[in-house]
This record gives sequence, structure tokens and C-alpha cells, in this order.
Amino acid sequence: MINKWSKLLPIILALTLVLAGCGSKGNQGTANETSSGAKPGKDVTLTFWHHYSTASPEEKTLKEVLIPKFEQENPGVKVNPVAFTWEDLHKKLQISGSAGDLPDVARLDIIWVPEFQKSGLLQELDAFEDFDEIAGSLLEGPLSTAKVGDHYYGLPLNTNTKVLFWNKEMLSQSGVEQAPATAEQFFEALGKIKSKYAKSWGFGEPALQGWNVLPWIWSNGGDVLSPDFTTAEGYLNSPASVDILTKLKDAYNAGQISGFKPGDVAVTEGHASGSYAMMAEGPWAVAQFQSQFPDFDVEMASFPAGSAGSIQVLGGEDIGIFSKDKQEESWKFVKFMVSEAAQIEMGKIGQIPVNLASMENADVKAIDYYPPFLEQLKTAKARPPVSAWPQIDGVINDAMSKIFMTDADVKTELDAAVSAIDALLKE
Amino acid sequence: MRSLKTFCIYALLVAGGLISIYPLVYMLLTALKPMTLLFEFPPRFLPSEMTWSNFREAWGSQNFALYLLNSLLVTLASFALIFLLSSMLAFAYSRFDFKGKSLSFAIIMGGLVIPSLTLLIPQFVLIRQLGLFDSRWGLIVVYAAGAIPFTTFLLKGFFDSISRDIDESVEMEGGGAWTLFASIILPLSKPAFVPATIFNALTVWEEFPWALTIINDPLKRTLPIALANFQGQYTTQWGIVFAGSLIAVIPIILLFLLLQRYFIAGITAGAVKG
Repeated sequence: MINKWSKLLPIILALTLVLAGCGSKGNQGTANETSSGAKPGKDVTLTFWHHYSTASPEEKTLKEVLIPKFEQENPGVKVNPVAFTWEDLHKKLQISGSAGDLPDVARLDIIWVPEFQKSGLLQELDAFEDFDEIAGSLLEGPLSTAKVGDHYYGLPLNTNTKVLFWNKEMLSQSGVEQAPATAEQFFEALGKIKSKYAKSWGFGEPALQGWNVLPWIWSNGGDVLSPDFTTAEGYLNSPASVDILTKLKDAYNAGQISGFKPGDVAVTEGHASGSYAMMAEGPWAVAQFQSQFPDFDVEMASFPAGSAGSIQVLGGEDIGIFSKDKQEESWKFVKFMVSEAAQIEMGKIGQIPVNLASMENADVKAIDYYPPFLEQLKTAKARPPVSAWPQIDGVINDAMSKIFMTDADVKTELDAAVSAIDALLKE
Repeated sequence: MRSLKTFCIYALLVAGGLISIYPLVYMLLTALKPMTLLFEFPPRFLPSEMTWSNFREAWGSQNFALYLLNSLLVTLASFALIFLLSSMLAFAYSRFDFKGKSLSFAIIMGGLVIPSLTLLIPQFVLIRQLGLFDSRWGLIVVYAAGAIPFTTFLLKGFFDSISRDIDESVEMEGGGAWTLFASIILPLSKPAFVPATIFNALTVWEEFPWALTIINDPLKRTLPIALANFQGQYTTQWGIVFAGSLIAVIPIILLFLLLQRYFIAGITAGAVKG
């Protein structure tokens, strides 16, 4: 026994030492990279943080098609892509921002731009000479999401919104021949579906954040903040908001809506397999159906209109520059990512392009599921561009959880949320 | 009468075993299901069709093998530090008397009651100042520091139970403190290292928030980060997530199987002072 131990300990220690070698080598590597950035004639490496999905063709396209193409067109500039999940990327950027250890370029959810602009991390892009020319080649709505105050802190990378997906067979079996065009028809259809399919739900909603509930409130004539984004009083707790949330809550209590409770059947998969007759989702759902449920007959329609019309939420990503010392190279990469060629490649795998010319490309036009989304985008509305939005979204999520999952009064909960949001806006 | 009692004991054990193994079996079966059957309704326990494609996908996408290696390196190196420092600390507290002994021991034990997430920011500042940001060393020292209080506590309890008569015999034979530590106490305490290994292996192997915070370079990532990346913003391919998680859990299961015959002897280590 004595021998065993005395043999084992040195082995472990030796391993540690080997590792020490690896670790310090790695450190030197990064130190060299950063210092070489300033020297002319040597390769400049740009770090690009993104949340292109690892489990879909997005990351592969980025790594195997786009970046090699960019590096070929721009000798001397290398791009090092780093994948995070959407949630982790947000956290990482916040932490790295406070530590001053940011990537050169990052893909940003459109709702993060005001936040990182406020903390002074994003570089102004309109300072670049050819900015106007590039901006002019892009869709106006998505471009506006990168503007804070008088300046642009990013360029749009892809856009999206949600439409109503409906299971034709389930609806017609329940006596509903068409996708519900209005909220009234929608709630009527929910009741019919429940009486035909007792074990299914008429509508699935995967979460209770602004992304999920705002389209209902907007379409019914309500809102979350005043038009000048200074208060939620009289908007989130307006009669129009209370009215639609009460209707949704009643439908939830009647077992007609589900999907956001822990343990619920996942909404997109559940829609394809008959658990949810309807759902509101983005273009990625179509891509998922094609790969996982090739036999499922996908039907899409505009989101049910309320008194204010059919207003869905504007989603999508921007691309922004954090780098202070590699701005020229970073700008080249940003321009490349919004260029026609790059946008076509991403457009082919379900990322709706923002480059006007790429929308005319035959391969992109051939994607038959884009038209309903492009139609819905015409009336889509962006979430308020305030820096406190991520926290406000948290307040909304908490209030909605209480409204739906407890027997709390809708108006009381909304009033409480309003005062919490107004406090956040004052900070 | 006696056979009834045995039967009851066995029935309870089997029930307990089934409950413990159910999540693992469920993981395995989910990982073996093709994507289209994952959300079958009504759900089916046994897949009607099996596939290894999720495992291939999990192993083939990202640098899964590299992340496995990183995790192994970080875990092994953390262990070297943990056992080196904890065993010497425990020996000192068990065998020597010195000024401030109980106070300093209380401070070390105080480390047990601080939730590690609250330390995230101060550790982050410290690791940056030490120049260990974005390096595997930044993981190793923090993992080791986090595990030292519990490991010291466990080992000290066991060392205390080893009779002091042995100390005297060593002294009589002319052996010093080092001989006592390295040649007598450590070999005798083998059972105490087993639970310490298993508890620490779980925490170090699965650690996520700290690894996410300080590692930027994708080549230095550990497994939990890679597993998290299988979850998309809008859609998650659960079959791949489960397949990846299964691959990640294999080393821990192997470790447990290897060490389990010592495990029970060790878990009572330090429970009673000899």
C-alpha cells in the first residue's frame, strides 16, 4: 500500500506540471495575437462572438462557407468565431464589458443594442466613410434597430417575426375551415378544438416574456410603454391590455392554451405531433419541421388581428463592433456579413436577409415559407429600444407567470409591474 | 419470518435501484430515438426505432473530443492540488498544536457555507490580476480552492481516528513528521480519499458558471459549455443534448464503479472519533 501511494502521487503531480506547460503556452499565444494586431504586414485576427446555432446548419455555414470566403477576399485578416448560446452570449458580453475583455465583433440580439450602447461598449459605425452607402443597401426597419439617439451602433444581420402556424387537419376536424383571422375567431376556434380534442390544446406558447405576450397586447390596441418610452402607466395596465390578458387567462384555465409551464410538451414539436393545434413561431420552426418532421403539413397564416390589426414582434440580430484597435478590419468583416453574397448563404438556411439585393436572389426567392413572414414583417413592431429592456422583460415575465399560473387579479398584477418598470426607467 | 424480512429488504433495494437508474435509462433511450419520435404523443418509453445518429452528431459537432480532454486535464490537475494541500492541512490540524489553530480551522470551515456563485465577481477580479484569465489554470486554482475546505474536513476526521500510538512508534523508530504523514497516515487513510474523490469529481466535472465566465478561447472550453451550446435560441435538438450528456457522464460512472467498493467504508470516515 505504501508503494502504491508513493507511486501515484508523483504521477498526478507530473500531470499537473505538464498541464502548466499547456496553460502558459496558451497564454503566450493570445498575448502574441493581440500584440501582432498593431504590427503591419502580419495577420490580424478578429474575434467574432455569435449565437448562430451549433445544432443547425447556421454555425457550419459561418465556419465553412462565410469565414473562408472572407479570409480569401481579405488576405491578412483572420476571423476566430466563438459560439455561445443566446443567453450566455448576453451574460458574457456584460461580464467581459466590465472587465474590458471584449470580442472585436459580435452578433447581437436587436434588443441588446441600447443596453451595450449605454454602457459605452459599442463603436459608432456612421463614423466610417462608406457607412451611408452600406446602410442604403439594407432594409430600413431592421436598420432602425441599430440606431440609438442620432448614431448607428450596428448594422442589421437578419430579421424575423412570428406568424400563426395552424394544423389544418385538427382545425377542420373541429369545424374550423380557415386559420382564424381575428382574435375573436381565434378564441372561438380554441373552444371548438378543445371539444373535439380533449387531450390537446388549441394554442401553444413556449414562454411568457415580452416576445410572447406583446403581440397579443399590441394587436388589441395596448402597449407596454408610452410612445416616448418614459412610463408604462396607462399602457401596460390599460383596459386594452387587461382585456386581452383576461381572455388569454380564461382560455388557459379552460385548458385551451398551454406550453409555458415547466414539464409541458415542447411547443414546436408538439405542434407537429398534434398536441397544439396552433402556435405563433418564427421561420426557424419551418426549418425544424423540414428536418425533423418531414411528413408534417405546415400551414401558416397572419397572426390573428385584434382591434389594432395583426401586430407581431420584430425579432432578429444586429452586428456590432466592440474593437477599439482593429476597427478597420472589423468594419470590413461587418460589411462582408451584410453583403449580398453572405446574406444569400444565410438566407438559404432560414435567416431572413436584410440586404435588399439578396432578397431578389433566385435561391432566396425559391424559399416558399418566406412570403408569410415578409407579409407579417410589414406590420411587425420592435420592442421598446430602452437600455433597461432586459430587466423590464424580466418584470413582464414575472407578472405574466403570476397572472397565468396563480389566481392573481390581472389588473393588480399589471399595476405592480407598471410601478416596477417605471422605477427601472428612472434609473 | 426471516425470509419475509429478506424479501422486504430486497424489494425496497430493488425499488430504490430502479428509481435511481430510471433517469439514466431515460436519457439513453431518448438519445437513441430519431428526432421525429422524441415528442411522440402519447409518449413511448421504448423507442420503436433506434439510431446512433445523435451520438455521431454530438461527437462530431464542435470539438467534443478536445473538450473532453480539457475537462479531464482540469479535473486531474484540480485533484492534484486538492489532495496535496488538503491532506497536508488535515495532517497539520490533526497532529500539531499551534497558535490560532481553532480560529484558522474555523475560517477554513467557513468556506463551506459561502455559496460559490456569490464569489463569482471577487474571484473574477482576482483571476484577472493573477493573469489567469482565459486559461485552464484559472479554472484549476478556483476549483481546488473551492474543494479544499470540505476535503480537509473529511480527511482530518479520518486522520483523527488513527491512533496516536502509531505516532509514538514512528518517533521511537526515529521517523519525523514527514515519515509519519507520507508513509503511515496517507496509506492508512485510503478509504477517506474515495468519498472525497467522488464528491469533488462531480462538482469539478460539472461546473458551468465559472468556466463560462473566464474561458473565451473555444479551444480551452470544458464539456459543460459544449453541452450548453447544443441548446439553440429557439429550438433544441434534445436527442443530441442527451447523447452529449451521456458521453460526458461516462467518466464519472467509470470512476464510481472503480471506487465503489471503497465507498461505503469511506463515507463513515470521520463520523466517529476513535
